[in-house]
Amino acid sequence: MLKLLTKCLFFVAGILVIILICQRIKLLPSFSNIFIAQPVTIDNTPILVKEINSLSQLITITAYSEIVVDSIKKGKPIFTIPILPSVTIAAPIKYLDDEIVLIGKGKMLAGIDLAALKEKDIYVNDDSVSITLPKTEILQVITNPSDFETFDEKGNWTDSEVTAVKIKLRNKMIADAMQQNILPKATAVANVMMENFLRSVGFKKVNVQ
Amino acid sequence: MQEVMALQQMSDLATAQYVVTKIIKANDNQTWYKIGDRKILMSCKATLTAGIDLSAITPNNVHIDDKNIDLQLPHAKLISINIKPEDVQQVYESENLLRDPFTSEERNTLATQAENQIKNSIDSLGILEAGEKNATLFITNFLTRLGYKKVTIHFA
Repeated sequence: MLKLLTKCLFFVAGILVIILICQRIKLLPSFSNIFIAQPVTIDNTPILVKEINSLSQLITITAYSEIVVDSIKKGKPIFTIPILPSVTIAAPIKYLDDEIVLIGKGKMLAGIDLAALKEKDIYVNDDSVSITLPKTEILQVITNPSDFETFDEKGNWTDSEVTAVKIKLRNKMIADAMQQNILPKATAVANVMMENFLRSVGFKKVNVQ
Repeated sequence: MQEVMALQQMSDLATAQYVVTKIIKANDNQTWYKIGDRKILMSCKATLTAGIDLSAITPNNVHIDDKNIDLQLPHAKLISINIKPEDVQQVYESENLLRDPFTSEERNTLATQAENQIKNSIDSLGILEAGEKNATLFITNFLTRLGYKKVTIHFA
């Protein structure tokens, strides 16, 4: 009996030693995080350059925005055909609504596209210069994946449905920025910037409009 | 919907834009107690913009000699990386019967990893060099239109 017990103890001790060795060489997770799900990591796939463009955009204002947006998909009826004709007047039984709440941080870059500057927009006379700048516009609206946080998600949301919610958030961001007069502010900064630049390159009399 | 907004004055001249693509590939089979695996494949397109900060130009960086001008510009920097929501698309997904599909939060986490990989590859893409080259070209043309005969630009 004692011999059998000793054998069992040696067997258990042997198993424990094997587990500890496996944990050391990372074949098994440690006891402390044995029930923690491993993070899903993406493969390091190549990055392909599809287009190279030259720009001449003067960015004068960056607007940072944080918006909460939600969307609900109404639950569909469980029974599309009534079980009994007499039940039709009763409220239909439905699946629960699907709901998603996203918090999005984005930024908008506003300024002028100097590529639209034409020969007639620049007038130089000795140490005087007059320049008419193109209209200010929103050059970029940036809402990257890292800018989004899913605050709540109930039900199944397909990739395209979530994209639609994110686009809704981006459009709201643009509308808010326009309400905050981002373009007139960007124009004012562009005029000051261009005036400073022209003075720094030697012009004494500068007119920017 | 609720929103918070802050404005910041900038003075960046964006001169180069790269459009890059990347395949996002992941296999969720590393958690030992989850039976079966699930795989996802997404495509991602990012627009990178580089340029120079014009506010760094001070009178000390400009030397004028009649119709000749020597201008010292700051080195190009990455102005933005822009991955539009519609530019991240799920191409394929499969999961074992015992596993749930990827949630939108999980898909977004994978896209964020791709965003970070693109950010970390900026130096190897050569966009900063292109930004400086295009800035030289644009400012040289602009100053020539303003009447300068010889324009010398260097970066420091």
